[in-house]
Amino acid sequence: MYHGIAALLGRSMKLDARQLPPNLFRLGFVLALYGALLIAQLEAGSFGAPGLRFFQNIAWLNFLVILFSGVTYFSTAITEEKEEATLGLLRMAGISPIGILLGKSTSRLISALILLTIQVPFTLLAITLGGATLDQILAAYVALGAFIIFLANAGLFSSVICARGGTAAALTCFWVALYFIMPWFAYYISSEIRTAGGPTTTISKWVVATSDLLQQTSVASELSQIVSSGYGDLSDVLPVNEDGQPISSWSWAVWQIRFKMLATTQVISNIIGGLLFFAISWILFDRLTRYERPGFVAERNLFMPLKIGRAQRSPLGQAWQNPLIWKDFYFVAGGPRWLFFRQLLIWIVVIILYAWMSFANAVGNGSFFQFDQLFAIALTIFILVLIIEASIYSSRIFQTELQNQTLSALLMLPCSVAYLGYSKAVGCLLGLVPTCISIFFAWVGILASSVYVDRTLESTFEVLGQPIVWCGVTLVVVFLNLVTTISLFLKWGALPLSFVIVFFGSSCCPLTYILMAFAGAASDPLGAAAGILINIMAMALISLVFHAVIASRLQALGSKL
Amino acid sequence: MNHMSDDETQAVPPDQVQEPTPLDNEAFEKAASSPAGAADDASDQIAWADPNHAISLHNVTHRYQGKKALDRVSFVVEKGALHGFVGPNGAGKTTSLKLVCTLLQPQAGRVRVFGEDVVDNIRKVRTMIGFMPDHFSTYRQMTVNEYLDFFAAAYGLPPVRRTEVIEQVLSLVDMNHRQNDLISGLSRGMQQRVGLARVLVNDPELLLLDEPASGLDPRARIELMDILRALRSMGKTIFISSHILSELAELCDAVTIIDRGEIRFSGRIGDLLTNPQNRHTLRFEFAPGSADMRESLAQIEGVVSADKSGEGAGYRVEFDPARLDANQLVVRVASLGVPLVSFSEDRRQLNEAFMDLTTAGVR
Repeated sequence: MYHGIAALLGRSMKLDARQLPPNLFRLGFVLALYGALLIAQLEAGSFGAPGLRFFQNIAWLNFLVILFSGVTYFSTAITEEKEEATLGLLRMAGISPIGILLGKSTSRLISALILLTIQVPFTLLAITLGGATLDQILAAYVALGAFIIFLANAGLFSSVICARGGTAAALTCFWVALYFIMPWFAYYISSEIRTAGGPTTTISKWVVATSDLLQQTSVASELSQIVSSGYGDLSDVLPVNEDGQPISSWSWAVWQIRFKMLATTQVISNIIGGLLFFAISWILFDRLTRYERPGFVAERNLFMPLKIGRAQRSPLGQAWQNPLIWKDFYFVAGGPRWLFFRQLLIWIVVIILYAWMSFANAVGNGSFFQFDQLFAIALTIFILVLIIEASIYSSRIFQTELQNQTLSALLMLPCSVAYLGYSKAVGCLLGLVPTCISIFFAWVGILASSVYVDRTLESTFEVLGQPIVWCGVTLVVVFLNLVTTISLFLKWGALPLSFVIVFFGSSCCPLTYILMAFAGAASDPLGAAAGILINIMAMALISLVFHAVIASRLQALGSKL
Repeated sequence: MNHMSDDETQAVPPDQVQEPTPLDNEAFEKAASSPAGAADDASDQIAWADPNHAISLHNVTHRYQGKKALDRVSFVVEKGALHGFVGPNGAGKTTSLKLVCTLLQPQAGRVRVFGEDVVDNIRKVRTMIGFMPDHFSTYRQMTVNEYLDFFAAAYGLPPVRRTEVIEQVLSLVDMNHRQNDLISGLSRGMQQRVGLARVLVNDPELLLLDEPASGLDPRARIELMDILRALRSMGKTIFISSHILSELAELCDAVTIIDRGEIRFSGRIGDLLTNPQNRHTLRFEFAPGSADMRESLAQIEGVVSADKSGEGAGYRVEFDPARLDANQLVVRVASLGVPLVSFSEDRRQLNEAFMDLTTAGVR
């Protein structure tokens, strides 16, 4: 077994070393490190503790890189073998499931940990620059290392249960979202209970204790504590020697204290979470990959168990007059039955959430939530769902054609590329209609349950009349266009990459500042209207540019097939 | 095939299928064996925009990142013909096919389909052609019926017609019994049939097939060839790119051989399989134990050479058809007084011609 694992591990690492993109990524990372160092040098004259600022930049950069890697790099460990139908060959070579899992995922984990480790000497410069301590640096890397272990295994789990890299990346996004939302939600619950006078009953004490524990599992909050000044100051806890002097900070007794400090709830929980993901992946691996066969791969995953081995299903009926709309509505968005089922599911989640929050509130201050709060929760969740759905459709709209190798057949239809693209977009947009209806119902629900209907209506229009809201819409539109464009260049990872680009790009893009300036300066109705108009024009212009790029890329890809 | 209605489905007898004209063959043989200037002279003799040419490529050049994929390529495919397109890997076959099916635009030269320029009349051309690529281009999550219905609708067929057309094309490819099956559950051969059915839903006059038999088992391959023959008998023009030379020789009326982006031969298969110097060969088998006949055979007027063939008493006799008829040769050989067991025409095989016309080495 060990020979097989070693061979697979060696092959994966050699492949990784030979490929250009990972090396470019590493180069980019090193450049970012130098950039952070340069900024620290420039800021040294103006701000105190430049070392700490340098360390903060590096720590958060690492966090984002790990996040991005988790969603893209780790999620494809097994799916790439599935897509190439080579899992069977690995089995035939006598490599056991655990061997494949270790061989495929461990190489990536090692690559990521190496990337983290090689920075330590750079980061130690933070101590020289002043403001950061060795304990802070160690704590940050241990926290990030534990997070990598969690994310690598969450990605591995996704890649075991999903058939394709894209789906696995989307599922890992879901785990990541859950990872960050749960502590935030826990904080909300516990603070509600505490505001209402603290936990009094056994249940409320248990809820608060669990919430407090959950809050400590997030690497984001752990990292923000670590990079704050004053963290890890051991001077108060250092043991003293016989002379009453603190013992050397390199002595074994101090290292014992350090180990205890480093073994935080976040570190332990993240490692345990990672191991759990790995164990489940191992248990499910054989079941989900046993019937590997090219062509069947796309139809096989945990969420569609009924499809395994099925040769037929109930017919969908004839295609619509515009079959491109029909196809994308059914095969990208999921079709009416799935959309209805999904809406129902989300409403059930909303109601459960409302009941839970209301219960927590009742436990805390003895009163349940008002009915309008159900619709407020629904409105928030459905707006989020709308953005998520639109993002997923944007990434899949042309990816499905590339995966099925059908782009050339579509491009040969007697219609323009624009007609093709916009028809497909309409099919996907139809898939958003149910969520839009739910949003409308939630809004009507708020209106209906509100005592002051006029005021609620007025505030709705006030929100829509804010140019800053339209600035946000412009960003979302840019994001969706970017996702579609990147999906034509990358096999997977278009969504997280677009998110990173828009998130960071918007903060340093002059256009965003211009748009926000227009939005912010609009104090009178005329200014607001101008702000909205400028945003809409910018949105249209940017979209047109993206659409031209998409059309040209489609043509190029179609001719390559 | 024409699936407008049953009575409109007029089968064209194979003997009425238009063969490439002698003019074309002469022109292209000349072009293939001559420098560029001579090729231009040959090209001048062809009416490139003739709608009777299902495909015509005239001086087409195409480059990928500066590297020439096609270099002043010219050839025609006659309407109603089953025309083979062969060449080594990287010779320019797929590029030529993509140019014809409008997925690429020629960087120089003109490409026409039934006289229509593929750049100027792109939509019209697209309605006239059906292209089956060398990979499965199917939506695996659809059923066979949904897949065909989708493409039929995309070509603008009304719903009622679509049902009829799908039935017809599925019956042609013998897939009626699997129309409600998911494509993902079909075998390779069946997926290939579905792909062919998809190409036929818009009733195109010209079918462009890129390696349609690759990866198929012998039975599926034979059945596919039968389908292609049936389609040809329905009057379709079929331009088929393949590496299986024996099948092409059996199936096609004409062939174009391309190598390193240049056309080596384009014309009737029969012309390609005759000796390059326009000499014919007969193989004679005499009774075992006969004396050496080489000298006697070589002395017959019109015989160019006579060589032993195999280990028995077999001889290959090459003769000039202008001076000696094949029948006359047989009579004269029989009159030599040595018992003649059998004789047969010794034609070159397509693979021999292919090897002669193309250069060695992987591109």
